[in-house]
Amino acid sequence: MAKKRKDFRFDEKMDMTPLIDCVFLLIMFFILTTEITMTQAELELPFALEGEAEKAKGDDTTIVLDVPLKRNRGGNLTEDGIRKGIGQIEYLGNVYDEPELVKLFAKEVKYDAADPPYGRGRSPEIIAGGRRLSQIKVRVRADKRVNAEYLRTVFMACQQVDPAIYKLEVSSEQPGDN
Amino acid sequence: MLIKRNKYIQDEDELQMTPMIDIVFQLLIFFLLSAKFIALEGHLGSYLPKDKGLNTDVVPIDDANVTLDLVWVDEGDGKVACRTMNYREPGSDEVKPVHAFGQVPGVDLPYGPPDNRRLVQIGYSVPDFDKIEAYLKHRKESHEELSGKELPVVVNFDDKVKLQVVMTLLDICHRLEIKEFTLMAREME
Repeated sequence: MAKKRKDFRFDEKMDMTPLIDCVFLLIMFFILTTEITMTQAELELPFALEGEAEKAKGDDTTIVLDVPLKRNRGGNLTEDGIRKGIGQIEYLGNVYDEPELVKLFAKEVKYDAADPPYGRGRSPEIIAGGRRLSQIKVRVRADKRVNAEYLRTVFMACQQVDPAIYKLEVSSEQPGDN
Repeated sequence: MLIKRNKYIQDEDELQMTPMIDIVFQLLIFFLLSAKFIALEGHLGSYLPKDKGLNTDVVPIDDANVTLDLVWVDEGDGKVACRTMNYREPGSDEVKPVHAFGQVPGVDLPYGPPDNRRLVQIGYSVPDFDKIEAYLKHRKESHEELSGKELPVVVNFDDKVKLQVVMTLLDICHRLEIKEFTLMAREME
């Protein structure tokens, strides 16, 4: 009789194991899905109804350039800056002007065309006239408030390298449910 | 007495889960609050001309092309005007050398086809995109009917024109399936 009473005492305790299991599963989920994006700036992308939805990531053959509005020393946007639309072209957090951008593209197309292990081994397409075209793609993620001159600067830089870059994408905001 | 001692020893043996659960909950709350669901972006794909580049000769403007000029007008808050050359009025043979599309306010601008209209914020007066779209549609249909070829659209924009305005034009061309869309570049030194 005394033994039965003892068992009853043990039953009173809440079993925490399933709860901890669930919590661990949630933590694993968040740890695995959280992406720490150091290179992608917060941008107000231009709105476009026709933009193709983003496909699966993991494509390292796209050079993604951010064009945010220029900030003041305190890191804040200024009214004047927004009005004038002055921005800067950034790649992996570094600022590039047109000649530097040409150098960057030249390095990237060279790496893309070089044989492994020194590159990706994707030989350039050669068209009539002997012009060589790289397989690399350039994506411009520009703030909608910056001047369109930066788009032109990127286009011009793409044409100045050999092999030339001809595949371009401009990121846009997708239509929401509003 | 003996029974009591045994019970005491048994309780001492149990692992203390409370601090671990505390920490696990803290971690859970941290990830819940810091996780940000990134909205998917759209991409407007395009190709630069394959056969042109550094050695491009200046191409004369063809009358059959549609040339749109996005001009920055620096008065008050500023505005973007859109002009086209060789404007052909729908339903008439009259050709106007220069035509300016009307202006609309760019704050909460309703934009897009009637069944998929959205509000776009540009901030200053912009050309009437509905009129530009209707004009491009008319020109595309008549050009394809006459020549059986794609309508080339050339867009020239001032450096100061905001990207959203250029993108809106690019978007219209995508919607109308205009494939020969050219952005004018400045001359290379």
